[in-house]
Amino acid sequence: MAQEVTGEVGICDVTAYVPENRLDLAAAASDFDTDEDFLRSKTGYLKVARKARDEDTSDMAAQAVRRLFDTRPGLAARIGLLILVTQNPDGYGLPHTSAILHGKLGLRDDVAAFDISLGCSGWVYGLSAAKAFMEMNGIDFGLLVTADPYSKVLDSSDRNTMLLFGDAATATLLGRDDRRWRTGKFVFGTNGRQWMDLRVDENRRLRMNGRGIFTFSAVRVPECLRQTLRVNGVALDDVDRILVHQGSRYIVETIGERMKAEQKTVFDANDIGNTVSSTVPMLLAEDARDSDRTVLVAGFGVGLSWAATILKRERGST
Amino acid sequence: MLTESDVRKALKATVKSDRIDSWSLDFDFRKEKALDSLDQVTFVLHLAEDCGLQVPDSDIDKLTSIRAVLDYASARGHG
Repeated sequence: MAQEVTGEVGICDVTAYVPENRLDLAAAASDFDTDEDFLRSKTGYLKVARKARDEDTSDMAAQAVRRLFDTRPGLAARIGLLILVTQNPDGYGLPHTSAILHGKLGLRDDVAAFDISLGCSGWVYGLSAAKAFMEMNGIDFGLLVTADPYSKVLDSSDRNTMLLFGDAATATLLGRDDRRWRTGKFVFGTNGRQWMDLRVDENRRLRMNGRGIFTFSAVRVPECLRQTLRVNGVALDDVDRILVHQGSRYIVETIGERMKAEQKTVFDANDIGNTVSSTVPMLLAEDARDSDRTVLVAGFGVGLSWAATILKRERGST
Repeated sequence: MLTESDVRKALKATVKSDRIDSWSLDFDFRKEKALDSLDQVTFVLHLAEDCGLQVPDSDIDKLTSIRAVLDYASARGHG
């Protein structure tokens, strides 16, 4: 009889994979009727990462996961759950890309693997889904992977999107042992009345209503962040950093201003771009400081959809 | 009722600069490149939130100057 596994699931580690290729937006600024000053101060991205032509979503995802496995020998054999967040799957989306990823990683046959089709809110949704799934089914270790290469659907003549989106993948290891972060209560939301504001059209090209997305981000996201503080009984003063989806510098700074927390609200994706569901875990992997004890995280975008929670550093962990 | 002061306040909240004070009623934000595309949507958001003036996407291009905003508001019962 299998030993019963109990205890709260939290975040043990986060790794990221960013392709080496870069599209130099500053060099191409005039092609998009803009200049470096606008890129620097508004979009925030001077370069964006681009996957190799022959690199697929599952390849990027596998790279991110292997960074976890490289530092934790034997971990692959202990994984019981694999969730992949993507809306740009391998091939035509059938089979689910998490199954292809499962094969590439050589995981056990008794691993539960499924995709979550969400955009920029996907990592936070996935965190809640993975935690609940693992706690309900007594799973020791799970992987929450994000890989959503928008370069597959970008229209190279569309300034609105070409100046923003980059390709990257992340892998979040969830478990009970060796936790770095404990999650708080989650807040979720959807506004399906505005689904047209960010979508792939009939020609399989991304279309974005910039005004609709900006207004949503500026109004709805601060409300969501305040609600998340409230339901967790945490004061803004007690939050060390606010890690929100890196839609653009302007959006992140607007959210920071509206939260009256400009110094705590991080923008840092200068030469990578908006990597959709990967931006928040990338911040956690690369920008969270040892002194950060309480962090407010939020993802928002396609859907329109949003989600947020509080992460608390485990005692003794760095 | 939307006043010139309301519009200037919304512009200041958008560009965070006192240079708005030197703009005449007919200073053209677009032609002078004083507001970029992101500033424009922020300006319209401030008009909606702070002044109650709702501007649909199709009308944003009409808001080219302080006077144009006042005329636009007036025609919709906000003036």
